[in-house]
Order: sequence, then structure tokens, then C-alpha cells
Amino acid sequence: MAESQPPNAPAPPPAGDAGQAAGSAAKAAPKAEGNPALRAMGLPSRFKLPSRNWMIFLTLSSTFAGFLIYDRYEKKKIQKKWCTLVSHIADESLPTSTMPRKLTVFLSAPPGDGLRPARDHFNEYVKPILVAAAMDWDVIEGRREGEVRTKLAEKVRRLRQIRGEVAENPTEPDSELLVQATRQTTGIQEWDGVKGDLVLGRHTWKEYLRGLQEGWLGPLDAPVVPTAETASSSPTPADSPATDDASPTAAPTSTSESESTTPTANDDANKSEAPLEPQQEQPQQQDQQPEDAASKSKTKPPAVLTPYISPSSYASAPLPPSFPAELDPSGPIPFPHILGILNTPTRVYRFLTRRHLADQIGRETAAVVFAASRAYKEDVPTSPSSESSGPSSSSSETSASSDNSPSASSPATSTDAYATATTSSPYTWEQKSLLAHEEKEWHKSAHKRAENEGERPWLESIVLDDRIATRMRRFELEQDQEQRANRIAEGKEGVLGAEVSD
Amino acid sequence: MYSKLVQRCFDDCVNDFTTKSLHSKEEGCVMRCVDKYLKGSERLGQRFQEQNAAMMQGQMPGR
Repeated sequence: MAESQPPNAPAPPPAGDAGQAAGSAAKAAPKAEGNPALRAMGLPSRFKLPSRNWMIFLTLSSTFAGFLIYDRYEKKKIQKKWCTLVSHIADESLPTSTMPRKLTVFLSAPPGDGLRPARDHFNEYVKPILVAAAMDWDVIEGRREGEVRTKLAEKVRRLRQIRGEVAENPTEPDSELLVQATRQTTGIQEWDGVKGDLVLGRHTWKEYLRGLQEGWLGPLDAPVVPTAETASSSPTPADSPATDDASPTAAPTSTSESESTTPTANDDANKSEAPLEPQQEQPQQQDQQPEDAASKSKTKPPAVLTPYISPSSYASAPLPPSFPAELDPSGPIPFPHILGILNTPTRVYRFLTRRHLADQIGRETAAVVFAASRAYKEDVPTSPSSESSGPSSSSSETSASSDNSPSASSPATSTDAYATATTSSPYTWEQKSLLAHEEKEWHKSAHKRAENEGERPWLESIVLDDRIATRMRRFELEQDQEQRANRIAEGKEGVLGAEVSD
Repeated sequence: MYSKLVQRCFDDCVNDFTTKSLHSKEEGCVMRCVDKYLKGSERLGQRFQEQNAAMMQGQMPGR
């Protein structure tokens, strides 16, 4: 022990030398106290850097905080930019006897989660811009899969009945209808321009397309439920279009056509197409369940109704006489949503890069506000999705069996198994591939199929009838508005029509 | 109601009592105030009438 002490005494402990620039603490007696330079200036010289562990901690936490603060600051600036772009619309005057423009927002709970994330997403990204432009909107919410489809189809059917189509069981006048009737008598005009639909997320988008087609192409009355006989799947679509004005010969042939298109539909390598045939049988079991539920709770109709028409019968369904020349434009809004503890790095990355999402959504919402729309593209080369295997075989078979297949269809659709699989359409519609990347993020519970389940619009590929798809329009921001937004971001421009204060 | 209109517009528009007469700015403000107030109450009346009619028919105005 006597030998160890002398070597220790002259050598100062290394901990005291941590802050060499600022001078070491007064642990080493022979060393001068503090930094002579600081001492000479009169500043406190007992200055040392924190320890190694503290340094690590402070570095990590401050970089994370830095990323976060930068991202939120930029996001706020970006949202302010988009709000400034549209705020002149809030100052536009409206005659007292005209209703303002009312958008429709479609919100649906993402797979594996509740409705709250969807609402929060809307409130955080879409709502500020709608509020800045003083737009009025109506929300169609869906808690479970199929609710949005049901509600949209009901809405379209009601619209058709208002426009004069006669149904066997007309829907009872709702308070909405009474309000509209009062408005008509009082002379209040509805908004005569473009209205618009905002759809949040791929799942909602799929349901939206289904609901739209079901509403316009489907019958006005619910299909009659046969008494739990699976063999009697044929009368189900045959009974329904009895009230439509179009030729009743379409009805019995629709069954045979649907039977014939389903085998070709099953060529699609996507397994989820396979239960299209047994789905015709399953709706009856599903029909009875909502009917039981309806009889138990007479006031509330079931939230998810069986579709009045199945996607395979779209092509054979007649267009209703009240079909408009153009449907309301739609704006699909990206809704990235990912769950799971192993996805934490992805989620942290997204948490720190929300400004990009805010920019994207801001652009889409501004386009909706300006009502700048364009037609959907017909020939969009879609990348082969990971689910489809063997697309070449399916497309060759379907192109052989399709009725109207110009030669241009096969090269265009050889990479896309979805386009010609179920419909014999020559087009690859843009609507099918929009927001498709979100499907990979869905929770695995969404892909589980339970017994005796009705149709699953989320799992099945999009089936688009050409007549509906050509009439759909998409909101897209015009070039000069985009440039104006860039100028606002740089600070060169402000609100349109505002007084410049110097 | 007239008294509410007068109160509201006076409170919001006239703040300077150094002169007795109304400035042109105050005049403009008052005119706009009356205009907006009447338009606003007309719109509110219309909405009220609609909802009232719907309620009278026996249906409660639900969601």
C-alpha cells in the first residue's frame, strides 16, 4: 500500500481531466485551479463538461428533440401555406337564400384500429385547410368494414328516389328529406356547383368505390332473401331488379353472366377473388342476421347491409335513368397507418417526418377546395403487386375470354392482374391503383376471413364498371395554384385580396 | 331584434367619443353591421324554420 500511494499522488485522476479546455477540477492538488485564461478574464473557472454518460444522454435527447421541433415547425409553416392559399374563399359572399357548398368526407376506421385515429388524422391534416376556406362538410363514418359502403349506397339510392325512380319499398321520409322539402318551398337554393367527396385511406377508398357502384348500378330494393337454401342463390339477383325501368331480361341473364364471369374471375391469382362465387350464397345467411337484428331493434337499421348487387353483376346492370353525366369529383387522401411493435422504427420515422404528409394532404385538400378536377386516367401502368402471382397467365386467359378486348389491352394489362381479371374492361383505371401502397401496412387481422362472412371489400380487388369510372373525376391542384403556393412558402405572397400592410 | 342590433353595432363600430358626429368610417361600419346582422338573422331564421318543420312532422332532427 505504501508503494501504490506515491504513484497515485503525482498523477491526477483521469476523471478530473475530462474538460481539458476549461480546466480540470481542483482534485489534483499540484495542478493550478481552473483555467488560467478564464481566471484572468474574471469568469468563473470552475467549469467542466458533464460526464461521458450525461454527454451521451444529452446528445441523443437533443438530436431527437431537434428533429421533432424542426419537423413540427416546418409542418406548421406548410399548413399555414396551404391555409393562406385558400383563405380568400372564406371571404366570398353568398346570397342569403343560397346554401353553401357542402363536401362529403368519408372516414372509416383503419383495419385493426378504431375510428379515433381516422378522426384525428382528419382533424390534424385536412380540417385546418377546410376551416381556413370556410367550407362546410358532412362526414360519413364507418366503424366496421362495410359501413361506409352501406351508407354511401343508401345515400345514392335515396338520391335516385328523389330524382323520380320508383321503388317497391320507398325509404320513409327522413328529417333530411323534410328539411330539403322545406327549403324547396321557401325558395332556398342548393349549391349548384361541384360538391366533392374526400376519402381518407385506401380502405375507405375501396368501400367508396363499391358503395358508389352499388348505389348507382344496384336495385333500389333489397334483394329478396330466400329461406336459407344455398341452392337458391340464383333468384337472389333475379328478384331484385324487378322494379328498375330497364329491360327485365337483364335480370335472369345477369345470374348466368355472373356465374360465367366468376370462373374467369377465379383465374385471378389473388386468392381473395375465389370466394366471389360462394359469396352469392353467404349473403343469404348474412341477410338473415341483419333481419333478425332489425327485428330486435326496430328503430335502427343494421349498420352493414348486404350489398344489393355484387361486383360481378356490375357489367350487366343497367344504368338508372337518373344517372348524371358526371359524378361528383373525389379526392383520395393518403392515410398512412401502421401498427405493431416491430414497426416501431417506421413509426418513429413517420413521427419525425410529418411535414411531408402535411404537404401532400394540404395539396389534395386545396385542390378539393378549389374544385379543380380532371378525369381519371384510363391507361395507368400499374406495378405488379406482391399479392398477384402469375399475372401473365391470368391476363392471357382473361383477354381470351373478354368480350371487348382490343389488342392494346394485353400489353397494358399484362402487369396488372386486377384490371381485366373480374371485369372484361380494356382499361386500367387510375382509381384502382390509388393509395395501393397502404394495403401493405394493414394489420394482419384484416386479412383473416371468418366463417359465414359477407363480402369483404377491403380484401377484394377493386372492380370498376367502365360507365361509372369514366364519369368519375379527381381533384387535382392546378399548376398556377401550385406555383402560388410555392411563392407563399417563400414569403413573396399572402392571402389573395388582403390588404398589404407596409 | 332591433335593440340587440343597435347595441351590437354601436358597441362594435363607435369607439371614439371625441366628436359628436359619426365619422365616415363609423358610418360604413354601421351600415355593414346592419347588413350583416340582418343577413345573419335571416339565415338563422331559415335554418330554424327548416328544423322546426322537420320536427313538426314528427321526426326528430337526428344525425
